[in-house]
Amino acid sequence: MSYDDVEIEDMEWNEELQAFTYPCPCGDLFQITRADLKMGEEIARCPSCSLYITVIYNMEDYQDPAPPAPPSIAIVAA
Amino acid sequence: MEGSGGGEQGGEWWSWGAGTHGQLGTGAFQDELLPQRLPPPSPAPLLQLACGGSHSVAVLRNGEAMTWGNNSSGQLGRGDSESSCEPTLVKELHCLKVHTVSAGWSHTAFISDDYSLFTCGSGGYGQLGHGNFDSCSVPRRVICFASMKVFLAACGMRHTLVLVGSALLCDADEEGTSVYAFGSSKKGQLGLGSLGGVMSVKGLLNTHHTPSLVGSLVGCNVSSIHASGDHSAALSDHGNLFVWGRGFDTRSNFPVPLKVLSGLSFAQVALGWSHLLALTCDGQVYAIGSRHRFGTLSGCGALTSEDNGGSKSTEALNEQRGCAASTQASAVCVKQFEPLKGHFVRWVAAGSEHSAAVLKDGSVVTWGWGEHGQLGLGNTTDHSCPNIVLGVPRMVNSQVYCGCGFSFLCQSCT
Repeated sequence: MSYDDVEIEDMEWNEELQAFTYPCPCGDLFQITRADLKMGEEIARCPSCSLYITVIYNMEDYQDPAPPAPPSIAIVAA
Repeated sequence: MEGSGGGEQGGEWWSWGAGTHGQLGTGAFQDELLPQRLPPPSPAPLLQLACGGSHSVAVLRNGEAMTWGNNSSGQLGRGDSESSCEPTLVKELHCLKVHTVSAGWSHTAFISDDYSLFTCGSGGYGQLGHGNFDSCSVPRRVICFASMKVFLAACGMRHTLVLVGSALLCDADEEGTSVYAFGSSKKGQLGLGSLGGVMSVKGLLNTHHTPSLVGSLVGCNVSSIHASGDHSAALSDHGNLFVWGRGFDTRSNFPVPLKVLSGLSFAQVALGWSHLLALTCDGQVYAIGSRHRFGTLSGCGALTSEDNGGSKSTEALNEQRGCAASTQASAVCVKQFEPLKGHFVRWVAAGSEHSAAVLKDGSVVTWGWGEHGQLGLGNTTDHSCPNIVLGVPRMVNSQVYCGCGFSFLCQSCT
């Protein structure tokens, strides 16, 4: 059972861990990486205990930006 | 996390539970499933302890403060970010005599004997009260209280409450107290919302880096303040209990202090991340919160204000005095903690997800989440009923303190 539901905006980006973190009641931090979010993972785990939280976020916000549209002007070979 | 002053402690003390950040003060970065007796931190006796997310703070009778545990945000107040597994003097307070302390998730508050407030550690939500969102690794004075007497501080996960005397420092006679709050208000934990739910939490600023007066507690004669997780609580000198912040059993938050209508007079409050314990003047334990995941509060009887008749005289008195805190009896329900019914309890403590109490004969009992050994029972299982912690002597005046997954027991010298 998930310990809590936490919105991604309430999580903090931790440069050292390269992960979004949120306080765990054991004193360590629940963690989830950008790669996890990109894959649609919604569970952030604590490395020190059995607890985990459900992260509320919009998956589209963590996808790679769409490739730029092809130029509309035809390039004509000289 | 406690904002109530402790009694005098002797030299004997023990710790157990989560210890990988050094928060147990044992000299090792490891968990302990059984109470570990610690050497006296100083020739001076212990006066008070505070346990935070993964750091601890002690006040000695000579006015010195010692810190140990996780220092990643500078919460140990020593000018660096190196964690420590042994209690070390906070030299950065220089010659100030410390009167009382509080430890939050990753910040710390020190109050000197001249009633000044100093904070250090994580400041990302404005919880240091310095008027910015910077973290600070040395205790820095909160200047907005320069003309007031600060009595107590209570540090939560991302917020801080401060109890000050209403009268200015220069006034001789003091009348009443005021509560100030700063830091994150996302869950209403600062209590700055308006009455009647006109303004939702979403309509409020999410953070306040400068202390704001909790207006609805003016005139309520608050005598102790408590913060843990996203919860806040206060106790009046009449024994009335107020709670605000994140809801205990519901998804709704309470952005304004609610008076808990129990008809009971409480003497002590302990706040966790999803539960509250309140001790009546006659040694009975009551609780708020019924998330049974760790069995922290299972077995609570259903005593509500209806069962109790209520204490109309006290309510009326507070209304007369202009106390504006909301009284929504149905919103918060306090219940007797059945497993300790009939026992006289001297002291209660709440960690994030575990609890501890000292009984009349000095026995220490623990219950709730046990994964890191924070119950001190030699195992890592959860216990829904209080169990006696063996391996510590029965001391009638001992006090127990709980942080996030760890516990301390101190012997009183009186």
